[in-house]
Amino acid sequence: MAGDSVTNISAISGQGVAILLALVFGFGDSNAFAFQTNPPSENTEDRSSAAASASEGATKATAPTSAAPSSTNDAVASKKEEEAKELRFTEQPYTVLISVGFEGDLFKTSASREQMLIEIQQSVQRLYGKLWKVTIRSNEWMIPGNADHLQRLTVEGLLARFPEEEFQKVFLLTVAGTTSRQHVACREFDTRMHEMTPVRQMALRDARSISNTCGRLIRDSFRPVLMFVRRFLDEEQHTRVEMQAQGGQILTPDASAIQVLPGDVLRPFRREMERRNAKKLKLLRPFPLTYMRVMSVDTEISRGMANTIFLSHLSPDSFLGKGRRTQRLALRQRPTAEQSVVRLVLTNRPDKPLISHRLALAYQLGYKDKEAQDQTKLVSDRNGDVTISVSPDHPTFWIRVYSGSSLLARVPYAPGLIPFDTVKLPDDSVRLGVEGEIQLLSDELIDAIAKREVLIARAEKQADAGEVDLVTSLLEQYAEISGKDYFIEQVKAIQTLAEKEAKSKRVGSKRLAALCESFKGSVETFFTDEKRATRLQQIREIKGTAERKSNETL
Amino acid sequence: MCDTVLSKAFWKSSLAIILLTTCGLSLLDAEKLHAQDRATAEPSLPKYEDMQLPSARVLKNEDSVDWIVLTDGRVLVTTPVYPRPNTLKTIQDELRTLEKATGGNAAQRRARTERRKRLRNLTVVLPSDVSTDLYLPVSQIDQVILHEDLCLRRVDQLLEADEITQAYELLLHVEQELPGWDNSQPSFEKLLATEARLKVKNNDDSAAMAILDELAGRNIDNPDLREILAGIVDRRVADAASDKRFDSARYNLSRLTRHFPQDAVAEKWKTRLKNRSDELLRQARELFDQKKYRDAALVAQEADFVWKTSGSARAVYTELVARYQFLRVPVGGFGDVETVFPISSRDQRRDSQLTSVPLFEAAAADELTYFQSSFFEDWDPTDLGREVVFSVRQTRPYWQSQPLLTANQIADSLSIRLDSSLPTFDARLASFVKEFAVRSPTELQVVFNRVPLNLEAMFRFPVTTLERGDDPDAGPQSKLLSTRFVPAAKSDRSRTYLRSVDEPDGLLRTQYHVAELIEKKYEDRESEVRAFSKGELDVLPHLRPWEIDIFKYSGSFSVQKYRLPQTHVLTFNPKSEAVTNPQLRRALSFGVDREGLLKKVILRDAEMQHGRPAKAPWNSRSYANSPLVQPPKYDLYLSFLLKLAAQEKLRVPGRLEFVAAAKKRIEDAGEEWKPDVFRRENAAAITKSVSHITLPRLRFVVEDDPVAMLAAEKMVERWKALKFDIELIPGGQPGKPLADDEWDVMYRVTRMEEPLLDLWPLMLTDEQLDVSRLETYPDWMRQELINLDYATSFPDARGKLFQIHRHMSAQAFIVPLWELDDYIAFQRSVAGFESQPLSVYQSVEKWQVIP
Repeated sequence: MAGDSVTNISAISGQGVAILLALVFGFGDSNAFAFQTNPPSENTEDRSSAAASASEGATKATAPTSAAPSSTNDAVASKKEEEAKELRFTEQPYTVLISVGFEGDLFKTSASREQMLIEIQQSVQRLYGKLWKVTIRSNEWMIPGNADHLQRLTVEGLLARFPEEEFQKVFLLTVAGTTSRQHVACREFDTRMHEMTPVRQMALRDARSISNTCGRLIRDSFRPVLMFVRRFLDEEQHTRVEMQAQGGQILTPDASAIQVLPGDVLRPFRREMERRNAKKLKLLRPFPLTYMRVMSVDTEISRGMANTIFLSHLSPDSFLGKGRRTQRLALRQRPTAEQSVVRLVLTNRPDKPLISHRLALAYQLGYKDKEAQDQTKLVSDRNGDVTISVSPDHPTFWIRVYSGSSLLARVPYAPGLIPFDTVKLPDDSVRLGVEGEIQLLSDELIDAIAKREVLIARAEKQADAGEVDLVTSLLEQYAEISGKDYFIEQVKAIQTLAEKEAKSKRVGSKRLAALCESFKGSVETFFTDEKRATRLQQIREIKGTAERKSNETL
Repeated sequence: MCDTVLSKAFWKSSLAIILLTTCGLSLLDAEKLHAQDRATAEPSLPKYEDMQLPSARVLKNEDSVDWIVLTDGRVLVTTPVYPRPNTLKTIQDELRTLEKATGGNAAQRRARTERRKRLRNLTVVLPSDVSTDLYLPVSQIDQVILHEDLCLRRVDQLLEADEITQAYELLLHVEQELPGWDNSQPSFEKLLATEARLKVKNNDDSAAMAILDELAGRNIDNPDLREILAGIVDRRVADAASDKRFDSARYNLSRLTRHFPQDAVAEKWKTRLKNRSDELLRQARELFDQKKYRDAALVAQEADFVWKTSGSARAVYTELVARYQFLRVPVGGFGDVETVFPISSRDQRRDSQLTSVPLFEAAAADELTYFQSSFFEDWDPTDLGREVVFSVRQTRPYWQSQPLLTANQIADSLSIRLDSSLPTFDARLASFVKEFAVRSPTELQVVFNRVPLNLEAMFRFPVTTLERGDDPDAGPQSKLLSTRFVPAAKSDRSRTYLRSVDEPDGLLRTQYHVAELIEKKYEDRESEVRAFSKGELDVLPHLRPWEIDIFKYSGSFSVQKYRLPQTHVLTFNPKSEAVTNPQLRRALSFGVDREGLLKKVILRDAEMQHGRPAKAPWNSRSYANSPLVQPPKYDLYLSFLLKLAAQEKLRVPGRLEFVAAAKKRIEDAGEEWKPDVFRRENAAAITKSVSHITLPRLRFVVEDDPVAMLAAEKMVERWKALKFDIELIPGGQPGKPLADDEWDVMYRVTRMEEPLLDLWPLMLTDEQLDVSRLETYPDWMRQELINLDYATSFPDARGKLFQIHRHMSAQAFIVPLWELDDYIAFQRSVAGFESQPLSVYQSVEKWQVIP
């Protein structure tokens, strides 16, 4: 079944115009599509003209590809090449395999299974029409064909079975049950992004609705692919990115199957291809915690062109930066669950979860934007995990992670898309330790000041009573209380030790110094020379009063 | 009347003497006296038979006089004569001695002669003329009746009239005058016998018996003693036997046999009770032969209760009670009774120790605590500690009371602790365990994400499983598999637990152990101690600090010190906003006079032998103690100031609000906003605007421990004096446990086995290790607590604990109060207990109760 593919890369560049790099993949059975890999413009280009250039470029760049088996005759091959040449990314249908596993009494006979396959294919056709080139098969290797088995599938296993040259999307479907009760489950596998969706499943009580349910599950599992077109900064200094949906020009028969809608979230991937063999993937780079939020979708001129805002803790260039033989793609993904789990770990020790770290969910588009509602406060659990629920009004928001008085990280997040994410954070333990020590020293400072005031007040009272001995004793106690030098010395010791530890852990010490300096400032405020002089005068007066009153009594 | 007669006699005699002395005559001999009497004096001296015995009041209160009865029957009333008592006898004895004496020089012979002359006359002084000595020839004196004799005569008369009190007072008067005088002893005995009779008459047998004991001590041959005592005992024993109060019967009999071992009444009852006891013992033997060991032991105990077995009967009794042993323990409350205390109470912890066997149990402690397992043979770590294979024991000693378990059952128990969806989830364990596998029915392999520093301490949980109950709507219930004793019966005042696996037949008598444990609740401590002293209880689990020395030096009991002392601490509700301010917590800490309370209230000992101020929630010998930390000090001034500081902090938002509102007003009016000027000029107004904000009322819940409660009450008094608003909630009240929003401060009594793992549950009052409870803690403290689990070595862990200890003390996250040595007292009949136990029921299945 595997068809040969031909990749042709062509770049069209011009002064002040779009730079287009299109890859055209051709598959057997006329399954082919074109890729645009380089941005046509940087911030300046008009979107429609860039899209037009992209389409044009793709057309021009399309190279003949041997898509058919070598045994096919030249005429057939030539015809396929022609078809491949004509297909641009915006017009390119997805090559889709639907592999259906059966289990249970309901599908004991091959006839019943065949019938079901036909019905499912019809259901999918009703949804996607020409957007999909569908192949549907009965799955012979997934035994038992049920949701549990689907759950256990691994990307590695599927990659070996379904190389990207054959199909772009593989839907693994299981239909299990009896006449009275059925269970349908589905999972999409994207061969280009090497990623599976979570299992979607549904229980039924009417066997007649199986095919339609399968269709719905396939539709909900489907993640359209979009390709980078261009980027620019908008008035609010957001990085805007335009992404073109594959086959965007092809209208789907069913409105519910439209690929991209405003409010959708895209997850970017960079595919770096081998230099000598441009159709062979060298490196696939996902961008966790990086999203593109769809703000609008062109439905008239460049259908399927999504205007998005790039949201990431990384520099936009990490994804959008230029690169030869680089494909910049994104998956449109909608929440499959009500919540996701985010795990906080140390950057240099991913096995160590960051437990009980405070998080705030800030509902804003860009991290500098105004927050739409009050923040949600969360704390990571014993595994370093935080469960974040989907917010219908905010497909994306920002997670802020705090450590003591400092902001440790700020990352965007779109919950519900994938069940589990990891946020790697720097080691803040040294700074946090200093914060604790400073806090204790502050308490000590408060105690010292309080005790001083108490002793002076008591000494004044005793002086009025002429109790010279008691006054002397109280003033001696006063003199023993820690003063400015002690606190400055202590904070210096804390700083020195912390800087040494920071050096050994190879972390910065600027924040440590700032903390210590801040405390020194407090000490200076409490122990000014002026206050000291006043206090000395007060002590002299107390002593004098005590002596005088004592003499008067005698 | 009597007084009048006496006065007349005095008058007459005095008149005669006056006349004699005024004529310049001396009473040289009786003849002369009589002649003078006859010649010059009328009226004459009274006759003895006319003399009236003075009243008790006169005898006690007026000047003492003696009666000298002359040979002619007349009586001369004089002031006390000497020598006394036994005046005439003493004179006669001395005279005889002098007459027998021979030899010596002339002076000595002359002195003897002079002395003999003087002894022939008795010097008397008349009450009417105390300045003149008169000499009365001894030969003319028939008898001398001393004042004390008069008193005793009056006592006899009073006793005949049942005037006990007056008689006693008069006797005391005599005793005061002539201590230990032989003549007064019969009167004392008569007094006691009369009083005993009166007590019996008034149905006060106990008092009567006590008096008779006194009488027996004075004179066992007193003729009234046996009769009265036997009468009382006979009646009391009969009553007690009919009410089946055989201990009372035996006791009463012992009161009689103590003085009269062969008394007929005693013999009668001994025979009756012994026969009854023998019959019961025979029945017990029959039950034993039918393998009804519990019934046999109970009947045998009854037999021994009726009459103490001895000889061969004793051997039978011992065999029967050794086969099925009962242990009776007094408790303050029961583990199955819910109280308002927010966490598991002392009773619940004790109940848990008794009913469940954890995989690992603390066995010994010094700086560290050492654990042992009765389920695993080996648990050697491999892969640098990341993997452990537990070998499950396939056999168990006959005395162990828990069932044998398989690796599968233990794995099931582990799995339900790792499943976060179940109530049995153990977050800490789950964070450590990566995977586990049952390699065989006797081998369980556990792989860890990271190396646990104290594997045994982490596996201190019993083996449980989840089972669905009868109610289909209810979720699965946890069922204990590793049982030690199982609850068998309950009443308002007791709970009974049985050994979950019986000991086999055919062992030697000395090999059997406790089969049934009965926890009993008493009205008060006094009742507990009394019952223990009477042998109705076998163990007294926790001695009060002031009782320790009494029990230790009584010599009647085995008093053992618990290996780890009890530490009393204050913890704070991590979910309560009221105690998030460290200054408030520190103010409370500084306001506790630890030494004062220890000396006066808790230990009642100025030397503080059995307690000391604590500086940590763990014991003072623990490896976790930082050398830099000292026990918190008592400083009332600082406490008060910190409380004010905490209050001021509460007022800050109010002040800011006030200033912000003013700023808005001024800016709206188009004027320039000068914050410094505004604050300076409106300082009083700003202060007034927040004056209504005060510290919230603190709800202080105290563990159900009598010593803790005593101390807590005193602490609250002191805090109230410092103007804290505090409400004391006794934790032992029945009811639903207080929720997080219903308490702020908790007084806990703890005995921390492993600080590394036990600190979290103590500090956060949380057994689920829920990190959300750390929310009110500063981040640095949170991370310090969490990083304890990530310690890579023992020194690393200790360093982390040192740091936590220092920080915890400085910010008063936990306020250590005092550490009290804890003692447990056993009857001598109890054996097999640990010499320094770590808990009340440590190795209880090995205890023996053999009389």
